[in-house]
Amino acid sequence: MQAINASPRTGVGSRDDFERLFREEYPRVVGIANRVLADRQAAEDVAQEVFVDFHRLHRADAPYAGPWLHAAAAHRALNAIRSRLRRAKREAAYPAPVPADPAEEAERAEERRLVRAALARMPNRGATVLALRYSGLSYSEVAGALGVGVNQVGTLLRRAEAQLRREVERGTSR
Amino acid sequence: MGHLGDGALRRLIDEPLAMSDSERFHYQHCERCQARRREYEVETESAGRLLAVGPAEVDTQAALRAVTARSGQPAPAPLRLFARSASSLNAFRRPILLAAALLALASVAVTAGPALLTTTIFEPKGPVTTVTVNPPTGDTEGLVAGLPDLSAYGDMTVIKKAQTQTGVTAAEAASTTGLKVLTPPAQYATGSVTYTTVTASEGSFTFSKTKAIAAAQAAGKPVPVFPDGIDGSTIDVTAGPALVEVFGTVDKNSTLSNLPLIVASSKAPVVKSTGVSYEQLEAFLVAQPGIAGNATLVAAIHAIGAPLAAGQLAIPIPADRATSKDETTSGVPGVLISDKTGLASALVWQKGDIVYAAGGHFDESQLLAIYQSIG
Repeated sequence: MQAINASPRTGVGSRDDFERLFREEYPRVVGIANRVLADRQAAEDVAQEVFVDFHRLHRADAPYAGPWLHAAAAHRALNAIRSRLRRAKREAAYPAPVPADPAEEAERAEERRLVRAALARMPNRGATVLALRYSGLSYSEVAGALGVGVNQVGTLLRRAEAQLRREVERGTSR
Repeated sequence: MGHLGDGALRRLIDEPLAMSDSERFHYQHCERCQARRREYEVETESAGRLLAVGPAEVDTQAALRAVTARSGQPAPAPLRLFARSASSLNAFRRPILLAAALLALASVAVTAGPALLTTTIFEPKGPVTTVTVNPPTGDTEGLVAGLPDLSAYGDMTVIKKAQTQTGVTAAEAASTTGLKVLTPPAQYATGSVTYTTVTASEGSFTFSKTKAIAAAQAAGKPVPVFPDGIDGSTIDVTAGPALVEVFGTVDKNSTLSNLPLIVASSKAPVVKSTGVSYEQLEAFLVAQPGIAGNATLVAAIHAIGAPLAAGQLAIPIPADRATSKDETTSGVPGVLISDKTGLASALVWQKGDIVYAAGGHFDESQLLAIYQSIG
């Protein structure tokens, strides 16, 4: 594989642009993926995939770079938990390893699982708005990532929060 | 002013300075809005607890090295400038084209996620949603001309052709389509009723790199981009049956100001796709000449793609021509779409696997009355 470098097609300085974009956005993109996955290592994997895709498809100085990366991080992380849940279903027939942690850890793990399952069941837009906002993006940044007006963000967020609560309750009562 | 909306109250919790003076004045003197805000705050705190995660400290430098090593493709061509479209129809055609392409993409995402597939089905379960699509800026004469003609990217096969019949009776319409004939309130259903039926149709599209390149070269357009996995993959779409009821007359003299009530129902489209992942198809679309590098189009693709990926039908709304808002009536969520002149509106909703629409020269309250009668 060849490395990223400046070339006639990418234009002079494109490598610098990409590195600057990466340094500015990588921690935040990991944060968004981690908000969905609750798994830092998996979040880093997702973030790196997102940057690889972005580099393949877009210029680093594109004005939409930030919103694209934020939305892609949330979408890819949501896809990852959905895949993970499907895989868990398939593997449910096999005995799980006995946890070495005390009951408190098991309880926390169960809550994490319930929340991830709830996010996976929610419509993408709702789950995405939660991931973005609770990762610290402003309403304006969330609007940019979702392609909606800033005045719509509060409404989407309000609905998504209510839906998250319902979905977690639904998962708990199962 | 009226009470603050849910969104404004929710934003007040996070960004209190974003409130306008009139909103702030109302809020400070309205116990009801203050109570709602407190209620929302409880839910916000609850969501915050549920979504709390541990710190995600990262080694950015190491990550940059890893990504740099994995990235083998050069960046795409520089940003393109587009011309203004002279045709008002084209402003609608492009979002619809994108929506159709994304519908196919979403079919993969709904049940598949990122893994490679052999077959996947898109069956929208609702609710219907809308996506605002911003108009292109600058000189857009060449914008539509610059877009790829996706129909030239492969081979279309009509498996079952739709048959359209106009002027049938209500009983025949119901029998032909299997759909229920809807009867709106008499005061809105003036004039004669014309029933039009459309039978179910099915078609498939197989991507062909060879054909796409040849078509582009023949038209003197940029050569399309075909990432691995796209060539040879097939998308199958089943649509309809559908039933359209026109209460009055629609002809060449019809305008938005005299549009009669039109009620339509259709079985939601079902899409199957083979061979490629969601990521591959989306990357394919945004990489095409005429789309790649155009922030407006790429944003539209992602905006339309998100609800489709969640199994919702998404209706593109050109921001300069129409507005939309969510409208839940009798527990069924729908969307109200209005043209910016205020002359015509339509309400669209989905129940089960049937999508319904009612529209014409009506205001919101009239459409809601119609909906409550037939919805």
